[in-house]
Amino acid sequence: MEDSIKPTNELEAIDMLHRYNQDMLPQKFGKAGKIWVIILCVIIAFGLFNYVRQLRQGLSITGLSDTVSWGIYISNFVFFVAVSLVGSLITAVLYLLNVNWRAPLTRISEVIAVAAIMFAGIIIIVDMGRPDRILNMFIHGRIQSPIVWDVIVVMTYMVISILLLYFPLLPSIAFCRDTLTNIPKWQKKMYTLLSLGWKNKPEQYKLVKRAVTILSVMIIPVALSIHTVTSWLFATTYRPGWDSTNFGAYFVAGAFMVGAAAVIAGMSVLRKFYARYDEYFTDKHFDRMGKLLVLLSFVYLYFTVNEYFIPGYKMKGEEGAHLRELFIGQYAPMFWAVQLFGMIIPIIVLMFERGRKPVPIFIMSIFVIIGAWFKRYLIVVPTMLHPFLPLQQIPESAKHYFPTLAEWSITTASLAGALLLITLFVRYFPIISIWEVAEERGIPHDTIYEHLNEKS
Amino acid sequence: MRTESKYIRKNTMTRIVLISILMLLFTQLMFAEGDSTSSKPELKIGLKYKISNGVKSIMADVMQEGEDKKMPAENVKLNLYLSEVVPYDAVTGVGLLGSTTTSDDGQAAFTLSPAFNNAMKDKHEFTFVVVAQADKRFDEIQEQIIMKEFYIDLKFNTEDSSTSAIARMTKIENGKEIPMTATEMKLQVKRTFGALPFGEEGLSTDSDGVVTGVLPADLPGNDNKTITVIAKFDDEENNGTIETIQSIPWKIVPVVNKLDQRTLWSTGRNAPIPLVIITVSLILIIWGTIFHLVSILFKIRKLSKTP
Repeated sequence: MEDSIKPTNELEAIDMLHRYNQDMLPQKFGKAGKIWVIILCVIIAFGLFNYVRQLRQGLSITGLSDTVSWGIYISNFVFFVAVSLVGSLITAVLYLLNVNWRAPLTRISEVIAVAAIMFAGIIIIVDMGRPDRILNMFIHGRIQSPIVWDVIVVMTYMVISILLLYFPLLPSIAFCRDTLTNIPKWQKKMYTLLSLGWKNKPEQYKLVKRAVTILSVMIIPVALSIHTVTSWLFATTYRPGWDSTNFGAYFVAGAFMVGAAAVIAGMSVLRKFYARYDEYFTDKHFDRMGKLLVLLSFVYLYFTVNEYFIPGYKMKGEEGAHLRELFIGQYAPMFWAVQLFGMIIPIIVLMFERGRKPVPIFIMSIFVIIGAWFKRYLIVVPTMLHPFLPLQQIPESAKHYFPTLAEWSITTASLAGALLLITLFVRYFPIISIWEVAEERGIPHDTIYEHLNEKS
Repeated sequence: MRTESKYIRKNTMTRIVLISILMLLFTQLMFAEGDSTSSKPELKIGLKYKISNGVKSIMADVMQEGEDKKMPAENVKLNLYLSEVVPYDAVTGVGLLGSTTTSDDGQAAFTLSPAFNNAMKDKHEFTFVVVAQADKRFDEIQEQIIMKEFYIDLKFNTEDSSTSAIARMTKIENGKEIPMTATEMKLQVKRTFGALPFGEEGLSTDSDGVVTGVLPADLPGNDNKTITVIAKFDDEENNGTIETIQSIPWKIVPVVNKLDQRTLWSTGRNAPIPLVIITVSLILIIWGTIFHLVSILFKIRKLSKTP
């Protein structure tokens, strides 16, 4: 349904609400959905098996060493943190800017944000090798250390993201509680418990809106902090490639870009597999998100040029050796592929209206997401292999890094875990906020409060 | 006719299945037999000796052959014998001197008592035999090492605020002290995580068996205003080390521990006050708001209960 279509009278508004309700009811998975869940479960099971091995044998089963102590686990952590920023972009920034087409996108972006930030926390524990020592972080942590700031800000952002997802979800949970009848007892109990006895009262809506406004204001500085502090983990360490004052802004720009791409990918999948979702994720939504992605990609391109051109112009000492590895050395194919497929090609394609149609924009967003993951790999690993002190009197194996099968499987399992979380959410909860869509499309508040959770 | 061929086919199938099962069982038995007669993993003993300020030690590093690589052999009982593997002879001092067991990393050490030094004061070369006793896991194995006794005398000379370490190395032959000439020695100062070499590189003793090294003037001392100097000779031929260690008074005081000050690089308790105030304030403001939001959830629940 296009955003220009508005109800002309109350009856039509009620009819629209009933139709939204019908469309948004969580549906059982079809054959494709079941196969998808099984594939994710198999990947997770293999990752868990290897994680148990890692717990028993230590990080020696990974390709990590004293030289490269941050490998794909940390690359993956930075990637998850970046993706999680999407919640603040779509929900908060667009909400505060009063953008009138954002409502169908808010929940999917918040679910992606929550899943990403939860698995960012998990993967950092995986990287610790000895998770039983995590309490030492709190007992002996130094407030001067960016690692401690990161732990604080990741936990805070996770709580805020969960709240930002949960508040607008309350009417939808109540809707499921009241509407879904032929469901298992545990599911019914879950809806009853989570709905907090929601009764669709105007006062309750008022409280939800107040909470969403507070959260939208609060999440922006916290979201900027989380990625800035994550960038400081690198920038406060004196190493080639990380010694940059541009890193905070660079990371935030990259995070917004990959976050927007993640939402586009999510919208595309939902539109493909759920009937009538094309009325909510319309071509106009794809077009606008495409334009937004181009804008964010240009910002990121600008920072990338600054990040590499100036040190590349000087090519001083170890910094020069590091950049040579990226530009023409062993990491050159990955480096140029990331710039080309993860940024340049998407920008060119999405600048054209035809490129912003659902299929091409989906392909471009996947390019951006994959490029973003490898970009994080390029930030972490090559720098670790170029310390200022020469690599002397160490085993030959410690001078190189390639992740082991166990490391890949655990990392892939974390990505699969995040996708499974999003998939299960879609299975059990309405993925579009009906009341917010109804408000956005001009249905009067009183009609929403009175008729929102009614069956047609 | 058809029934008969069907019967024959069925019978043949049964035989094939039975033979397959028997072959499988036979193979399993063969492997099991092979396992029971498999030899125990072989042990390897690496021996080193050390004479530090006259105290003699034998260090053993016991490894076992693993599937792919050598692994430490823990809890292996080791006996130390002088000259021969026989019970201890109180008259000659030959025989069993002591026993120990290896640690988790396959290491063990024997330190010879002053009584041994007294009893052997006329001898200056020894052959020690270390025997790893047989147990359920390993067969018995033995290894020997020759220990040559040299003497390093360490003295110091201070002139014009410059301190030199003078080390003289000798050996005893036919009851006479003979200087060790053209022998490479090391002069070092003990530091927190190792030893700092000083003096010229590749120092060799002169015709009097003496090497001299000037101590760095700017060297910080320990908390108790001393430094520890080491004069060392590595007997590479016999895998041994002879050293003399001596502490001397030192004027230069240790570097002031800046971790006691409130800086970004000090301990958590000494974090800069402005940083603590800013961080705690931000945490309180944000988490205070989060608790306010949680209270809104309770209000929503309360509203649900009212008619």
